This record gives sequence, structure tokens and C-alpha cells, in this order.
Amino acid sequence: MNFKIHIEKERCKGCGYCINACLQAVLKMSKALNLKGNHFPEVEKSDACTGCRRCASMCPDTAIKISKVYSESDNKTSAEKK
Amino acid sequence: MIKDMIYDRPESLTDVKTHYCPGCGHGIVHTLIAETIDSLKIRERTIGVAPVGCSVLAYFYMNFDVTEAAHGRTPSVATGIKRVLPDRIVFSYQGDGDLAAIGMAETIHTANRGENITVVFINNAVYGMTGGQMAPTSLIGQKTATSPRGRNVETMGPPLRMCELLNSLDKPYHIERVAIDGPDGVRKARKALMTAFKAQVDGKGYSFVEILSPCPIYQRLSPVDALKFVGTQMAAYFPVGVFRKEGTVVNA
Ligand SMILES: Cc1ncc(C[n+]2csc(CCOP(=O)(O)OP(=O)(O)O)c2C)c(N)n1
Ligand code: SF4
Ligand code: SF4
Repeated sequence: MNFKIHIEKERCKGCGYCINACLQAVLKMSKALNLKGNHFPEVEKSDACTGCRRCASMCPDTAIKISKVYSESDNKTSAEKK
Repeated sequence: MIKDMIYDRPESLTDVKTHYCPGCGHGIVHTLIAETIDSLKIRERTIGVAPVGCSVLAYFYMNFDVTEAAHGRTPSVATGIKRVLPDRIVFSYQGDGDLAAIGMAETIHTANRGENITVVFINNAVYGMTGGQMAPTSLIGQKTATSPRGRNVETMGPPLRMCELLNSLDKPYHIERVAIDGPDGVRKARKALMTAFKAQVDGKGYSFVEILSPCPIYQRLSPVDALKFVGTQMAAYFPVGVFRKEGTVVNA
């Protein structure tokens, strides 16, 4: 099982709290700018994410959502787990 | 491939983008309040009272009824609403200028009456909205627009500790201070808000949660350094913890 970080970059103001909060260095600041002219986080090491939610809990602008991703090799589907 | 959301925007927040500066603590606390209201399933009977200050537009961001009060009068307006509509969950949301300067009288009298409301106090040690003037909670030596050489205790007095002050009253039910200086602090803040709102739902009386909070612009720091300022310098003067639990003084 993996986790997917969804970043709504146009909500981001570039504070960097999420990058600072992540213990796994999953996120890094973009070189690109969003429409407001802010750098925003990008997922660099998706596999390292533990789904701890530390990044999202620090976001003042609710720009981060997180989902679980089950691959074909996971022996149980999410439906079976519930 | 099957996807399950494990972190999503709470229903009690609208999807309006906020006007707050990058890294402002108001955004974090709005989310925490919304999560608390969602988990208690009280969104349809909650009424917030927004202050004068940077969070004056909180009603755009909170997805339930929110009204506005004159500067510092939030707890009095909240009192009125709660007395007329006792089945509603009513909270006031206030900055340090609003709560501890112009609204000090309302703050103390509402706590002293033990009104069954919740007060959420954002202590960022400055007046944000008006341009970074000194607040009652600005730290000793802190440079602000109105204390350019730093807060001088001789002429300006020391910072006011609101939890300690309210803890001297008989009636409050819950008083707690937290600091949103990182994910652990945010988790504790969520728990404190849950305790406070739950107390009101159960009809226990007045609950007060002080949240030490970043204002990177007027704390004159980068956002990440503002978090450090909150967790070290602010928390050194304003100790975090529970001061009043179930109506009983914890830290005398
Ligand atoms: C009666 C009155 N006096 C003064 C003001 C000016 N004023 C607006 S916001 C504010 C202080 C805001 O500071 P704080 O409560 O700490 O909130 P923050 O902006 O830091 O979130 C003041 C003095 C006002 N709007 N009304
Ligand atoms: S959920 Fe945790 S591990 Fe994954 S990116 Fe966010 S902070 Fe890092
Ligand atoms: S001035 Fe401070 S309190 Fe106001 S929006 Fe900006 S960071 Fe937030």
C-alpha cells in the first residue's frame, strides 16, 4: 500500500510548513510558480510517504489532501478491509 | 487501483481561498475548529462570533453560521446568542488585541459568569490587521510598530497571561493553552478544542482555549522561523498545558 499526496497548487502560499513537517523528506519546494507567484510543494519521494498526515495538518490553506493507494499486488482490497 | 481519502478538507470549511498571509496561524486554527465541529456532528447548530482583527472575515471560510461583533465584544454577543438559543453551540474567535486589550472587560465578565460558551483565543503577540502594533501579549523586548526599541516592562508593563488570569475566577470549566508550533502542537490543539466544545455540548459551562500562533509578517520572521518563535520564545513566557479541568484548578 502507498499514499498519494494531492497538492492543490493554486491554494498554496508557499509557507513551507508541510516540507518542514515531513520526517521522510517526501516533499520539496517547486522551481515553478503558481498563478499568485508562489512556489509550492511537489512530491519528490512518493514511495517514502507513511501517510502520517503531518504535512496536511500544518497547511494553513487546506491545499493538501492524502489518499491511500492499493496496488494489484496488495492481497486485500480496501473494500475487504472494511 | 483503489483510492481512499485519509485526509480531506472538513465539511465545516468552505472552499474559499483565505486572505491570510503565508503561514498565518488563523488558517490552521480554522481547520482545527472545522474538524472538531465535524467530529461532534454539530455543524448545523453551531454559531461562531468573529472578531475585529485579521480573522474578521472568518464567516467566508467557515461553513456554518457566523456573525460579527464590535471589537472585543465577541463574548458578549456570544452570551446573548447562547441565552436566546441555548441548544446552539456558540463560540467566540478572538485575537489578542480583541480579547486582551479592548475586550478585556467582556472577556473577564463572561468567564466570571461561567457562560456555557467556548472562547478560542489566537495569541500571536501582535495586532496583525492594523499593522503589527504592540499587543498586551507582545513579549518583553519584542519589536513592534509601537515598541520599535522593544517592549519595555518599565513603561509598557509585562505581557498578560490570559489563562492564568482567568484561572483565578471561580466559574470557568475548562482553561487550556496550546501552541501550534508543529504537527505535535497541532494535534494537541485539536484535542484541546475537542475538550472545550464537548464541555459546551454537555452543558458544563465556560471553556477557553488559548492558541499560541504564528504571524510571520509581524513577528518579522520567515514562516518556519515564526513556528520556532511560537514554540520556544512564546511558549517560554506562556507555558502550555491545562489550567482548569472539569471546573477544578490544575496549575495553581
Ligand atoms: C473600536 C475599534 N478600535 C480599534 C480598531 C482598530 N483595530 C482593528 S483590528 C485591531 C487589533 C487586531 O489585533 P488582534 O486582535 O490581535 O488580531 P489579529 O489581527 O492579530 O488576528 C485594532 C486595534 C477597531 N477596528 N475598532
Ligand atoms: S503524510 Fe507524512 S510522510 Fe507523507 S508527505 Fe505528509 S508528512 Fe511526509
Ligand atoms: S498579519 Fe499576521 S495574523 Fe494577520 S493575516 Fe497576516 S500572518 Fe495572519
